[in-house]
Amino acid sequence: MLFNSISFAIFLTIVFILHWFVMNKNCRSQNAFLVIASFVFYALWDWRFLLLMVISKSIDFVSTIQITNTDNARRKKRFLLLSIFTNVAILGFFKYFNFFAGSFSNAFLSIGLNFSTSSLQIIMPVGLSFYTMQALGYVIDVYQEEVEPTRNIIEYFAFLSFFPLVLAGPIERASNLLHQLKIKREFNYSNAVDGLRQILWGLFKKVVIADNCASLANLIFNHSANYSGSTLLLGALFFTFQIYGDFSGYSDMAIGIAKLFNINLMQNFAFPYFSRNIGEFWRRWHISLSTWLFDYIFKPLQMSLRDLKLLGNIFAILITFIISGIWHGSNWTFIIWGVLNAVYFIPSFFTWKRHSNTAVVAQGKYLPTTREVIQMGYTFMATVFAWIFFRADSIGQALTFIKNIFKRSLFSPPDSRAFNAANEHPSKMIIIIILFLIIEWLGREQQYAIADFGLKWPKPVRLALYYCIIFAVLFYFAGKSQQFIYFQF
Amino acid sequence: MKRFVYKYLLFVLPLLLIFFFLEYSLRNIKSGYTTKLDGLIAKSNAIEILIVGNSHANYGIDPAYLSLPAYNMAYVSQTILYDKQIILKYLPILKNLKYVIISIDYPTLYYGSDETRDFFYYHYYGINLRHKSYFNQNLSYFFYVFSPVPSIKLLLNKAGDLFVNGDSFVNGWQGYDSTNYTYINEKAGKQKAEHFDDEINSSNEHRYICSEFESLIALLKQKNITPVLVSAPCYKYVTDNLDNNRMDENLLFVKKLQAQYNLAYLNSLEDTSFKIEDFYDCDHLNKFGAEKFTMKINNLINSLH
Repeated sequence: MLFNSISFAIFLTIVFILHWFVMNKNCRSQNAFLVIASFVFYALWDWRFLLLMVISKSIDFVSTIQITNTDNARRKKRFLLLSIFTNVAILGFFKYFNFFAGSFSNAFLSIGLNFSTSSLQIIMPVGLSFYTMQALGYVIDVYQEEVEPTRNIIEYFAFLSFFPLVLAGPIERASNLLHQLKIKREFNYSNAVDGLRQILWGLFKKVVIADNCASLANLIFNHSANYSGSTLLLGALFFTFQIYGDFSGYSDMAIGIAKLFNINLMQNFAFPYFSRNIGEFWRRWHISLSTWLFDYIFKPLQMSLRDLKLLGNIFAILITFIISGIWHGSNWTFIIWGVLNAVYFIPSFFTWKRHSNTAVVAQGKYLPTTREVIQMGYTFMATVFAWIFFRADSIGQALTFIKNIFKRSLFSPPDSRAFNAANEHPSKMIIIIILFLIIEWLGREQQYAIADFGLKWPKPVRLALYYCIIFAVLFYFAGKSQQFIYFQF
Repeated sequence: MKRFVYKYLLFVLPLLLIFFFLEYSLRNIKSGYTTKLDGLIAKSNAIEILIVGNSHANYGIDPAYLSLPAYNMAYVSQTILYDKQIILKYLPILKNLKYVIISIDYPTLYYGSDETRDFFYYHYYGINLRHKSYFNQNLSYFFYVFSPVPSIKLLLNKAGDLFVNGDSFVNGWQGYDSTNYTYINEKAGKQKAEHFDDEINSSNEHRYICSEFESLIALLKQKNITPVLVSAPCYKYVTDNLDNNRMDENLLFVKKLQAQYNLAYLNSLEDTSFKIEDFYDCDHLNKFGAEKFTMKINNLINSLH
């Protein structure tokens, strides 16, 4: 059941009504109901996935209790390691088995040894990477005594399997979400209205921006050998907006849905394409993953490699970004994407730029300065370049794609015939993206673009704006609810 | 909470009204499928010849020119798999059925069906060929069957041949009045042939389709109903671009069936007696061509008894 489907709209309506009108007695009943709703939501994908989640996360629950119950440091560590090992083993098996088996086989073949490995038909449970990281973060926080563990298993599963975030995040922290689940939640009118607005904006990003960009990007990437440099560049740009619309749209919907239950999730995207350097980009893109990697991978690595000084920092950054790449998928293209981002990031880490640009660009102003435009431009183009590896099926395809961009045909108009044959209209999409960017720019100081947009306008005008967005979503709703890219990760 | 629910309902009410109106309209739209089925049921006692097949038979065989009472149940993109299911389903009410005219065309033995039309046969004829769950489609025609833009076009009667208006059918037949010369040229013919090849390449059900075809023939023979195989003419711009090997394979299959079941077969695919004035476009006959083609079929049937 996808957020952008009619069946989910019905599911959400039923859950909302039951939560506030039937199960609203106390915190315990609210949480119990959220767990049931979340389990049903998750089991609708595949009940076996639910079984895996319940069993594996129960191990984490027991581990945290044992960690808290004992004063013995070795015993604490043993349970921490048990939890880490279980999570990594499950993730490794479902996500990476075929990748590593295939890579080893190829490596042996290249030195003349035929070492065949059987490739299993493993289906990765949806959301596995997300809830595994959330659970791992929780166990580590408990171990480091940064959060008080819950001894209530209902509360624990409400935190871990909360249906808006179980499939693709945001990867929540116990310090933010768990304490909200410990107290009875009262209905909050303004939060609920804000939530609906954010869901609407998320739907717009997904259905209008991402799905339309996806058709164009797929057309160009799948037949890249036939197209001119300018068309390929256009394809890379369409993918850049596809992935942003897709994932930030999903996050907006998840955060908006949670607000309907008066639960505030962390912001996951903060207008990353308006970043002035790559450090700022990573503070604004998939924030819940970036901060998770910073806290649980980079910081421990940096500590353990501190004797190497400068080199240690470089290694820590490189390894963190490679892990980020591997987390996204079992393909060498993701690893190259991670390395590329590390290469972008390392220079800014050792200069003052690491600490710069913490505020929103052109705060309080309508327009950026020329310097800011140039900074945003090159950061954006560096990101577009890296996305080519992220989107390509293989490193070879990515390299050919890039090579073909930088041909003389880069300066010729894009191939309109190719689009006409596929009944696609890139010029229409470019106009929509420009309008979208204007709205995003105007709302960049808010949590999401239309949070404050038009709130001071006369009510009929504001309502007309919302109806326009709804009709745009309906107009582009292709009938088949398109899956979100990040579900595969 | 009350304030939220009240304001929310007020906001979504216009949308819900529009949505329910569209849903109701789409579910009750009169289509070629409903008209054909209504006619078949109404005339079931009289029908002695049933015509099945795709658009070539739908436009190309006019029951008015057959000596016995006939009904055309062919339809646009209707495949042999659906021909069989329709015959199986409605055979019990066709008490006087003597002949079934089955159109066999270039892609017939290769192409199973497409998703959109699968749902139409499920919805209008109650045939669930692929044993699919149509949960989403049943939930909303607007979103999951037609999607918004085609829905609006459909309601404005501008949907094209995907879902033709059923008012113009006579004994299940619907014909084109004239020749559209802009659709008959080498480029269009080549595109049509490529379209057939695309359909064929998109499917891997060749063996299954052949066995279903054969079982249909066996079933009809068992019920003492005579199957008559026909191949409708296509204009030379199409036939010149068809794969000869595939045409030979088709012929081989038909000849095998003919030998095994003693079947009558009229192959007009490359019949040069059909002139450009007999066609609507490169591969569909107009009403003049339909008259000519149906007369030839009628002669064949007359020769059988």
